[in-house]
Amino acid sequence: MNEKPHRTRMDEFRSTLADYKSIGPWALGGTVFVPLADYAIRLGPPWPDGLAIITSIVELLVVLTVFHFWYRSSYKRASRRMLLAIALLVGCFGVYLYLNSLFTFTAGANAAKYVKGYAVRPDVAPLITADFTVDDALASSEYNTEAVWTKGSIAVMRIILLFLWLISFALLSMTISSFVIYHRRKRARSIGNGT
Amino acid sequence: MTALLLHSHEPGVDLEPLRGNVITLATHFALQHASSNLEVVAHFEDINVSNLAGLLFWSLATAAQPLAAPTISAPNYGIDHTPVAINCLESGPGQIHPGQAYPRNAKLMAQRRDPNEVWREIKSLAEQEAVSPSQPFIQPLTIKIVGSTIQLRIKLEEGGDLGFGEDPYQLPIKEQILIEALRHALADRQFQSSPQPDIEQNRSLEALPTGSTKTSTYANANERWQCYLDQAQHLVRQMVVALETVTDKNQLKQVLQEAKTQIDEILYSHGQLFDSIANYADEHHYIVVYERGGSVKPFSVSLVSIPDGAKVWLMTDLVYRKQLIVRTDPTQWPWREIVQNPADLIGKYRYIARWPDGRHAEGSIDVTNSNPLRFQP
Repeated sequence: MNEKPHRTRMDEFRSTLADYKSIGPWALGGTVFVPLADYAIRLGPPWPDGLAIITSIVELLVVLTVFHFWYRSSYKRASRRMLLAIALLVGCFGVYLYLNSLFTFTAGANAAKYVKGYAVRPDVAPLITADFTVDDALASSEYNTEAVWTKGSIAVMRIILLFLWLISFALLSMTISSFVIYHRRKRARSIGNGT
Repeated sequence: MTALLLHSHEPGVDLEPLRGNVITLATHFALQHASSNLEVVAHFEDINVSNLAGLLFWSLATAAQPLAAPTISAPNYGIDHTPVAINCLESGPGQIHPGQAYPRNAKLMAQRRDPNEVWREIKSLAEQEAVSPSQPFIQPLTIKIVGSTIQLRIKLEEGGDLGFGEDPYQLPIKEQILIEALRHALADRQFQSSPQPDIEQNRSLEALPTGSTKTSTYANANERWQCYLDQAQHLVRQMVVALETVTDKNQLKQVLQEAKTQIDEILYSHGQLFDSIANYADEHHYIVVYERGGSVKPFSVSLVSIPDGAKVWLMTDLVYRKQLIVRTDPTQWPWREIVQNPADLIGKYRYIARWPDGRHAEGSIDVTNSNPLRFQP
């Protein structure tokens, strides 16, 4: 007698994760757990090291949360949530790209990327004119950001860029996992009903 | 900080044949104490063995290897200025022919040590340092298991200071240690095996983006990497030959500079070694982590004075402008004398150059690449 093994909620989560993984690469161009967009297009914020791991953890937490709280969401709710997540994703990633282009620079023999600050140091501020811009000051200080901007503003900008990056990936994760969970549940229901 | 001065010239005693031994010992010593407060300073010219520390090192060098007979016969080496081809995708390994790379050039020959011998010592030392389990001088690649994933950490930075001061041998030794450290890391067993079996199994082929199924094998990739490293090593060897054969200071600087620039291109340029490693790691589902956020890597720039013999002082342009604003006494301005050549520089500077006959020059420079800087009165 062929009796179907009982599927626990954890089994269902694993299946959801597998489906999620199979959809993610279309969006990210790489594996899901490691957002290779950072590596492939060098878009990721320069700070901190191990960004891929942090992003991966955030993505996993989002998938867990969506599965735990919104597993039984109706079509209407799931659709609304996905639309909201996509709208926020476009906004956050747009802001991230804008700030990334304004507050990061590439320099050095290895052409690495670094974060600028937003508040110029008091001893440098009097030097800044139309002919000697903040970027000139940076090039004139061996590209030492702390010689031009206050430490605090550099740290804040690092956090802002990181936050926007992580939020963007969390929203992407939310969109994909909402989609996967709803359609898995719909399929499971169809099988259960024999339709 | 304690400074240990290493001198190699006693008046009347020719220590030139010991040069390689002294370098080897000094480097070992420097590396062993790289993280302590002991600074090792090695001078190889115009200094006598007058202090105890210098004598100690001289004795060590003598004890380590009996005094070799000075090489009088002219070595069969010259310098090849032809840039090394750095396309390992097409050329593959086996393109390096060191014998052909150094055509006979009588003008450049000098009565120094056999460059081959010096090169072997440097190579051997670098190999030892690359596998040294304690206090590695540099770790360009690190493979770590984090949970169910494997991380490949790529560090695009040079090793620390060997404490050689102005000694030009620092450059080839540092570069060779980096090359050997890379060879060692790439031969790591973890790197050869296919990582993350769970991800391999779970990954649906239908879901892969176009082209992702085309993964290179370790053997193919390693062949390409070794080709890059062989080319970089070839350039280090050119440096050593230049150091032992070229007598003209400016020409020596130029050769060292060109070799260094080419090594940087082989390692760091887009599509070259580090890119190739990262691509391979990506294809095989390693998590590639670039260790970033450190200080900006400066360019290694040769300073050439015309005529020769000028002393050069630099100050960053920003500091210079600050001095003008606060109107400090110009005699108190923080000029930095450039004692190491090539020097690590990047960005805009103000300079003062002074020649022994009293002539001088001053102005501003902008260092945006590794091209030599020329100073004229």
